[in-house]
Amino acid sequence: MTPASRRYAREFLPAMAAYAVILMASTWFLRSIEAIPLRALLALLPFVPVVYAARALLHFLHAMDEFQRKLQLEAFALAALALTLGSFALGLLAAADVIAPPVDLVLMLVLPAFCVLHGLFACVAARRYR
Amino acid sequence: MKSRIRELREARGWSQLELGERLGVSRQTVNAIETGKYDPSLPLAFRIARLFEKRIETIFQYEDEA
Repeated sequence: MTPASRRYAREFLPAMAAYAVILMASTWFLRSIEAIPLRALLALLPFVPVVYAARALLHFLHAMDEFQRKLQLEAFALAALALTLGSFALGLLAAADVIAPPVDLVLMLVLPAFCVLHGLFACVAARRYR
Repeated sequence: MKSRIRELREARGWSQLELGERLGVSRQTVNAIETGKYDPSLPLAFRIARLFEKRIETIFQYEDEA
């Protein structure tokens, strides 16, 4: 494990742990609170650790050497392309009333789907240059 | 682009990992440069040339793809 990977793990894992805890807590509190401003605050609370996780990812990108950064950025580009094409196709199907996906779920799945796609493309790129 | 990095590295008895540590890059990066799958940036090419005490054009040879 490189120092950059260790730093990434040190920053990313606590952020994700905090996300899980805050998400559970905010979901629990949201059941009993009706005031809209407070509900908005509670709903957005899990967003804070996600920003920290994104910051950890940016630190990791900057700590990489130029070739590794190239691989990661290629994987980001391909993930963005796959995700936007996929969501465009979903939008077309929804507009034609073929499917009716729940908007909140679809919006919340964008980030995890992007992470999964990035991981897949990064693995493919790493194998290509091994 | 062709390079003589593998030859120069092996002449010094360094592994790809050792060379990567000296250059501040990963073993995977050294391998990609040696196999011609990745062309290093100009600053990295200069660092390589300085490390091997050679002129940059004696380490890297541009191959016209046409």
